[in-house]
Amino acid sequence: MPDERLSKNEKRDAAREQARLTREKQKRQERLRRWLIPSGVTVVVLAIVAVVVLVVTNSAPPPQSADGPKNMVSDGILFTGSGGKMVPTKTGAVQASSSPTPHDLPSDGMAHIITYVDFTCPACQAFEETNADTIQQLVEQGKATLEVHPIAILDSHFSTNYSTRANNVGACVANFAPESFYAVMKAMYVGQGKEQTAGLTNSQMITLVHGAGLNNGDVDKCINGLTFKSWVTSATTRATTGPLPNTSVTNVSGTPTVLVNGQQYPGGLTDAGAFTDFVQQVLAG
Amino acid sequence: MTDAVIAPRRPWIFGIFLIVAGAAGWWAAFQLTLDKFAVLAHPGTVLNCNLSVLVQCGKNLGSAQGSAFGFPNPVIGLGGFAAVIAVGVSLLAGAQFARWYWIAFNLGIAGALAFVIRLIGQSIFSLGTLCPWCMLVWLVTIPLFWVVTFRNLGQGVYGEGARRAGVVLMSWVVPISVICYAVVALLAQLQLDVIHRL
Repeated sequence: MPDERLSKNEKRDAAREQARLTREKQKRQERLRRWLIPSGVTVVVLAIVAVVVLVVTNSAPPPQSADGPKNMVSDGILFTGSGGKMVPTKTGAVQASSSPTPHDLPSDGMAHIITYVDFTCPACQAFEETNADTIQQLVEQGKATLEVHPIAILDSHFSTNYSTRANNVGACVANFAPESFYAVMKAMYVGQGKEQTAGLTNSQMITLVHGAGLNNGDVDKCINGLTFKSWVTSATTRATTGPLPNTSVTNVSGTPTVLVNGQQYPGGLTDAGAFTDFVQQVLAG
Repeated sequence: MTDAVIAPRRPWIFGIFLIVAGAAGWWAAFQLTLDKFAVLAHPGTVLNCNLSVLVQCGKNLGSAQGSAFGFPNPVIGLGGFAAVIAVGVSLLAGAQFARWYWIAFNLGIAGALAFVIRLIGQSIFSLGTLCPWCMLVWLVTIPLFWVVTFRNLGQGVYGEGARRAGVVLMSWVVPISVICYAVVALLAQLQLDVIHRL
């Protein structure tokens, strides 16, 4: 029965061929499946990235404020001693259309210390390093008050208007978290950028602020958005052109300008003894 | 039945990938080397790559981290990426390599990745810059490492047991690389607020 055998062989061959085709098809499908899921995952990841980028792009920093920061109605933030603590005085803001309102300087036997400082100025850093803790103690003991005026006079010393941005940090903290102002100011001096460089980035300054114990989303946004830029500029102009309130000093010609009951401290910035002596001398009249 | 000696299929996708990635990395290293020369020859030169405070390579080139081993980093890239191109071209020509060769190649690229990770960290967290040519090197080194490692796993360089894992992982190489890029981008955004500063 050769015919039948042949046909059997043919059938077997056909079946084999069929099986081979099926196997190959399965292989192709498996390979496709193997690449399909990762491709899908890639698309999903890219989509997530695109959404994040869009969200971040649209979360534009808050608009800049034409008004000054709250608690700086005098262009400065005033600290007084209360119950052994150094407490900021809550005030309104300098409106865009108006001028600052100086705090009264009563003759009450206390040392009223007013500082005009630039957070990016190395001399201010030296002065604060030497005297910040002493001044804080005097204020806490009720022997002194402190009014800090951040001004930005050093933009030309950095490539990224670091001076304006850094003193805007002071305004932001005064506005949103005045009780953290002194700690943030000290942190800004400790982490101060070097002159003739780009200075610090906003993110680096935000890191310093966080390091000083202030985690406040509004402050972070305010720093990134340079919210009080126009106030920093006008307050700087007011201080450098004068007249200054409560003193015979006509204008700020350099930072730090330190006034105790209206008298300018002439001594060394790193001489702790000289400053306390000066305070005593002023108080003694 | 005769034992037909079947020539293994030439891994042309892998080969072309090595050539393209190697060439891109080499070009970046070459540009950085030229920029370094330019700065050395004429201090104060304004480099083409210096687009802003954020996007620049002058700071990276001038930094201590830019000469991690006492000589400018791009010099390493000029040698290293040339090797990657050479391996890719050899594969296209049908070359077969010994197991130790693939292990050595994998080790070299792992070293490159480790170095790149360190440089990414320095650039984002210490220098605060994004350097365009440096980023091209990051861009190619990351998938180079994964592709070569997964290829070696899949080809049994690290034992028969790892073959299956290598084949499966290789199909995931695109999303894995994209996720690596996303992590770097996220770090850059969080640290430098890139989107608002471009």
